Amino acid sequence: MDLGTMSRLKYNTLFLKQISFFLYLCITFMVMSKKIKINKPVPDRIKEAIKEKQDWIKKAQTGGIVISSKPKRIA
Amino acid sequence: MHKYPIYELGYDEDSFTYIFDTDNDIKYFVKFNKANHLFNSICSSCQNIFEISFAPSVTNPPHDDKVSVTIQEIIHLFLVKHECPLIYVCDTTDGRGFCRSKLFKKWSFEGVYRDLFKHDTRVLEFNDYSMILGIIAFNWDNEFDSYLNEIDTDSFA
Repeated sequence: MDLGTMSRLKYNTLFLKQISFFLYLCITFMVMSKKIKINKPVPDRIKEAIKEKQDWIKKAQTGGIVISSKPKRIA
Repeated sequence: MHKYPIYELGYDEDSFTYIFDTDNDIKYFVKFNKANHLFNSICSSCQNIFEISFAPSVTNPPHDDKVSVTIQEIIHLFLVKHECPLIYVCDTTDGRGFCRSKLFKKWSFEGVYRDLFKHDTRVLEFNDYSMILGIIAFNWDNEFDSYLNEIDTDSFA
């Protein structure tokens, strides 16, 4: 490999590194701007909702959801 | 792509449940219930936001492309019928919360309905738990920007 090719490769790698770093900064900024920090433990009503959802999923997986004899077809 | 036949399982004032059967004899339940527990009670337009949940009848269902197409169809049918925003809460305890969030976003913008909706997300970080909230609403919904600002963080105690 001649010196010119090596120099071009080095330049391209540096360019790619800069672009990657810039993209990383953009993504980090986007994620951070969507974060709402709440310095409290999870409130009870959220805990209840999470538990209710988990119970419903468990019920679905154990045949606990009652299916009427003729559910109405909609699509 | 083909989808499975969709059935309405039942509804009450605050929730609607749909069901479909796959070729592998697995049932999928899709439920929409009011998401009032997340929003300020004074935000009247937020009272009409539903949260979606879905569950298969087995613990580790095999991959089936028709399942996502059918769930997308249920979401679209529900939104068009009720003309309401839809929120989804992604659990992050297994580290896959962002994957679920991205999947929902993809579902809301695929197919013939892709120009109908807009989408946004927030990450709620509590001391001991974090959750990702995503919201899908119609393009014409002028209050879209306010919904995620109306998450009731003040009364979280």
